[in-house]
Amino acid sequence: MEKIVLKGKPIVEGVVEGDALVTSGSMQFLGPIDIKTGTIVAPPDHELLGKSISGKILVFSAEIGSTGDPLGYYILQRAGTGPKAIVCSTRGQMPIVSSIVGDTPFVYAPDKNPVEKIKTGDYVKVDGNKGIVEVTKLR
Amino acid sequence: MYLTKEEERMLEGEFGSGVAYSMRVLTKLGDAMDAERMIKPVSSHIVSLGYQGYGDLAKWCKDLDEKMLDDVKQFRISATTNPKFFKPEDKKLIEKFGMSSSTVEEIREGVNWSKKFEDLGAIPAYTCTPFFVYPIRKGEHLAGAESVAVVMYNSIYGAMLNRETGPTALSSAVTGITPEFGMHKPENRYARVQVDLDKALKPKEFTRADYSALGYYVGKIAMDRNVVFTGLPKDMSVGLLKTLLAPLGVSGAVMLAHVVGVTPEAPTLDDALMGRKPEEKIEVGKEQLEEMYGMLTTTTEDKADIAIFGCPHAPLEEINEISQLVNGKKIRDDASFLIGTAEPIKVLADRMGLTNTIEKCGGLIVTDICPHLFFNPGFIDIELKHSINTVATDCTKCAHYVSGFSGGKIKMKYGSVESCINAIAKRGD
Repeated sequence: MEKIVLKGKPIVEGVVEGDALVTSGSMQFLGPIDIKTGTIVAPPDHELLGKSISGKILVFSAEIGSTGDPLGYYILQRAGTGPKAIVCSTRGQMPIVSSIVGDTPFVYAPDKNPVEKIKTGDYVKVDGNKGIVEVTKLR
Repeated sequence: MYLTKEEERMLEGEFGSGVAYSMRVLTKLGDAMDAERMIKPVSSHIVSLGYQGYGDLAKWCKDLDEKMLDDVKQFRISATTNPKFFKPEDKKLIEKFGMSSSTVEEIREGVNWSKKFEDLGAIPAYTCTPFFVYPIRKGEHLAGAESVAVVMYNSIYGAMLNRETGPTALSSAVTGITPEFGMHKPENRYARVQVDLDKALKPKEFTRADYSALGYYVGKIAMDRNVVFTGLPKDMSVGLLKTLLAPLGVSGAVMLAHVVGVTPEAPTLDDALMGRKPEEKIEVGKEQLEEMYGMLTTTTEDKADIAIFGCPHAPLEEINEISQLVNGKKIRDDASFLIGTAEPIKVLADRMGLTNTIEKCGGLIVTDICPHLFFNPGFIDIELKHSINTVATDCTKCAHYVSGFSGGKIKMKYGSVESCINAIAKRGD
C-alpha cells in the first residue's frame, strides 16, 4: 500500500487516525451542519452535501463563515458528531482555533497540499505532537 | 513565540485555570501564525454563543466560556459585547409576536449568562456595531470577533485587529493580550484586490441594498484578501460604509477594505496598494449586482411576513431614512418589521420622534439583539402569533444567515427598504 507523509507545524497535541473525507472546497461548522448527525445540509452546491463528517478525518481547503465558527466546531465535538481531526490546506485562524477548543489534533501548514494528496476513503493518521499527517492509500 | 515572564506565569497557571486556558489558546494561535510576541490591545469585542445562542448550543458554549473564565475576577482590558439571542425585557416585542411567558422565561435563563461578562467589567453594548458606541483612533490595536466590527474598525477607523474568533476574543479580554501578526503589522495592510465600478453604474443613486449587494459580490471573490474600492463617492457616510463593508465578512473573510479618497489609509490608490500592483482587479457592473439580488432572493412571492432592517445594527441616519419612508404607511396586521440597533442609538431615536413614527406604522426598533434569531427554526421551535416563513430585507448579512441558519426553510426577499415595506404593506395603501 502506498504511503504519503505530509509535514507541518505541530499545533494541537494528540494522535488520531481514521477515514478521510475530502473536499477541495470550503467548510463552515456553525449553521450548515446537522448537529445530531454531523451531516452537511447546506449550501446546496456543497461537494459533500448529505455526507456526515462524524468520526472522519476531514480535509478541506479553507474554513469560511462567521467569526463564531470555531464555536460550531466545538458544539459538534460536544454532540459527539464532529470529525476526529481537521486537515486544512490554507493558513487561517478558524481551523486553528476550532482544533484548540474542539481538542482535536492539528498540524499547521502541511508542506504538500492536503486536498490534492488525500482522497476520500484514504486512511489518515494525524500526529499533532510531531506535526505529521500520514496518508495510506487503500486503493 | 517570545513570552514575557508574566505571560509565562499566566500560561503556567499562576493566575488560575481560566487565565492559563486563555493563554493556551492565544499562544497556540500565535505559534501557528508565526507571531513573535504578544501585544496589548485597548479593547476586545466579545462574541459568546453562550448568550447569543439557544438551547444545547448555548449551554455548551457557556461551558467553553467557563473554561476561560474560571477564577477570573476582572477582565484585564476594556471589552464590549455582541448582541444577545433575545431581550426578555422587551415587552413590546414579546407582545407583538405573541410569545408565551414560558418561552420567554426559558430564553431569559439562557441570556442571563451575559450578566457574567458585565460582572467582569464588559461594557454592555450588545451590538455588532461597537464602533458606533466605542470609538477608536487610527493605529490603536484591538482584539475581538464579529466580522463587521473587524472590517469597520480596520478600514474606517484605521484601528488594527485580526478577524478573530469567539474564543480568542474572550481569551484576550481575560489576559489583556493578543498575538502580534496579520493586521497588527502595518506592512500587511496593503490591498491585494482592486475593485473598479463599471462606468455605467451610478453609485450616487445606489440604495443601501445596492451597496450591500456590491459588498457581498466583492467578498465572494476577495475571500480573506484586503480590498481597495475605487470610484465610490467621496462623501459616503460612515453608516453607508457599514452597509458596503459588512458583507465582505459574510460572503468572504475580508478584514480590511480601503476606499480611495475616503478611508484613513487610502488617500490615493497607490497608498492603499502600498506601491504594489494588485493581485487581482475586478470590475463590477449592473449584471453582477443583479446576480447577487437573484442569489439572495429565494421566493417569487410578492408578500413577506416580516421585514428586517439593521443587520448589522443601524446607525441613526439609517433609522431616520426608514422612518421617513414608512411615515404614514400601514403594514398588514399579520406582518411586522424590525430595525435592529444599539441601545444608545435608540435613546436618540426616541428623542427625535423616530421611534414613534415607526411604531405608528406597525414596526419596532429593537436593541441588544440580532433582530432575526429569535424566530429562526434553525435555533428555536416556538409558536408565534403569526408564523414567519418569508423575510424581506435590504441587508445581505441578514439574507445570508436567516436562510443559512434555517437550512433554507425561511424564504428570503432581498431588495430596497421601499420594496421590503411594499411586501408587508396593507394593499391599497
